[in-house]
Amino acid sequence: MAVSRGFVGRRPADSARVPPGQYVTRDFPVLSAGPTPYTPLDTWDFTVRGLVNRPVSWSWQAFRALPHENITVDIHCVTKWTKLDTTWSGVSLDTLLDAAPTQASYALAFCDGGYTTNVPLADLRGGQAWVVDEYDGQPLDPEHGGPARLLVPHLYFWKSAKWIRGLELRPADEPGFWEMFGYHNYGDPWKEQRYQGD
Amino acid sequence: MHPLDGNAMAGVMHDLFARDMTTMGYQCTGCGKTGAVAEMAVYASGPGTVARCRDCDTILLMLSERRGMYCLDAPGMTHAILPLA
Amino acid sequence: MTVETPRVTTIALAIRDWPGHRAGQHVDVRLTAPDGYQTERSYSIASAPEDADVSLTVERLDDGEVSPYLVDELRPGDEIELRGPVGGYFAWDNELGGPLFLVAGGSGLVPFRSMLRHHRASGSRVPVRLLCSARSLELLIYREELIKLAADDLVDVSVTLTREAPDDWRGYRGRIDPALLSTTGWSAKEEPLTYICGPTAFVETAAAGLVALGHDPGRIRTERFGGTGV
Ligand SMILES: Cc1cc2nc3c(=O)[nH]c(=O)nc-3n(C[C@H](O)[C@H](O)[C@H](O)COP(=O)(O)OP(=O)(O)OC[C@H]3O[C@@H](n4cnc5c(N)ncnc54)[C@H](O)[C@@H]3O)c2cc1C
Ligand SMILES: [Zn+2]
Repeated sequence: MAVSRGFVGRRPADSARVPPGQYVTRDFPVLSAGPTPYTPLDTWDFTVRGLVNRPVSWSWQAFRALPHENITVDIHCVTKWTKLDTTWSGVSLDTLLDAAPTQASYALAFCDGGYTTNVPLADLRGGQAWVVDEYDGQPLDPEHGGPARLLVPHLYFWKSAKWIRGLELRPADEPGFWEMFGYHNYGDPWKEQRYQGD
Repeated sequence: MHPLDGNAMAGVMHDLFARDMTTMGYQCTGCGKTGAVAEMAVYASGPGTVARCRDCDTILLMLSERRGMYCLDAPGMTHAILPLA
Repeated sequence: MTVETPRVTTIALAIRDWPGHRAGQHVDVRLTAPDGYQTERSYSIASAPEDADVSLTVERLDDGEVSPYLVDELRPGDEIELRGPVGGYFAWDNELGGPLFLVAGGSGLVPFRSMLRHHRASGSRVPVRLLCSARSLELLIYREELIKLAADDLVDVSVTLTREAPDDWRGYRGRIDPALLSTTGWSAKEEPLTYICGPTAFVETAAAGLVALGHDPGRIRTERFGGTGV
């Protein structure tokens, strides 16, 4: 392996704020495993289903009417970029999950376009996760997951599923899309849990 | 999103199969379409590389690389047929 | 190194044990930082199989990781690691025949330079029509060479400028569309062999335009570089 003279590449940032192996980017790379779905808002809904007495759904209007919070967080992508101080607006998952009492311990987020990702329910509660519909004061762009995406900033960003349509609550954990293909089941950026076995 | 195509996977696939794969044909399990590997829609911006059918978006190939080791899955390809060219 | 436009440079490589390539193939360039960090990108081969050197033509994307290094930082004598040549699908040689229609957006012209040089060097009798789309005349790569190539009776070169054109510009203006593809290319009846290369959105537009004009999709080959239009 020969070093390419003068090449540094996008270098990991040396800062307590940035997880190991990550570099800070100013733009917002589009992370995608498929074509961008364009779901009309009048057919969009968000559903909590699975291990619940009765599934609960919100239409777009009902979702927009739920209390929204402004969120400023750092996000960390497994492809090694970190973006600091991103600002979002959305509904806390505490609000959504309170509407659907459950004994479940795990959630599988499902999305338009067929994407899924798994997150322990405990990681979605306690003010750590949101369903966001605005980025930087604007409606969330379809390329970045609009109309609405999950935001779980303390995990690698693939857990923050784009084009989310709901959560399936489960007694047992089941791997989602990337997790099935060898990515880490939990994905803590501070422990560099990129792949299975990390 | 502006996906690439199977040409972008030529190098990696050459490493894996020790031959040129871009001219290989495939058949999609989703819609039955046949095409050349070079014509797949390739999304390379995610954690791994995902190749999909250009007609119906069925996933044909998934490639991930971890520390220099490749892992390849072909969930949506029924046959690799004969070279087209 | 040859500066093609303010953002584009052609790099000549001296390669040990080069196995030879087919016109239109590419290589993967791998860069390694002192701490072992590696990254890799594909670049089409700009030279013909008959040329003495193997060369690449790279367009610098301002926020890119690899292209600014290759355009601004690399110096004669530096070493880079390559994989290839690879990709037999987007390759042309004389035996594949024609008539040929080559449609290039921006740096999508690179593999066609190899094909056109091969066409000349192999004494091919295949008639070729080349359509290039560039933002402006200053950003059109290989300008001088295109003028020379167009002197060949068998090779027809058309250029369209999408953003700005000199007042006395005699070529086409505006983005490619079916009308431009049909004036500058072959009719579907002539059953051309078509290669389209460039930014993804450009390739999609050109391919859809030709299919709408009745061309056989089986005789259209495409290569997408990523990114938006020209
Ligand atoms: C088969 C193949 C052949 C290629 N041949 C050539 C060639 O001959 N000459 C050449 O200059 N390039 C060529 N490319 C493109 C090249 O591989 C790189 O994608 C390009 O140089 C950008 O790399 P980067 O590291 O500078 O940018 P990155 O760091 O990868 O990207 C920086 C930003 O630019 C965007 N971007 C990525 N690619 C493009 C693009 N092509 N156009 C516009 N925006 C983009 C990204 O989304 C990102 O936001 C080819 C690509 C393929 C797949
Ligand atoms: Zn299909």
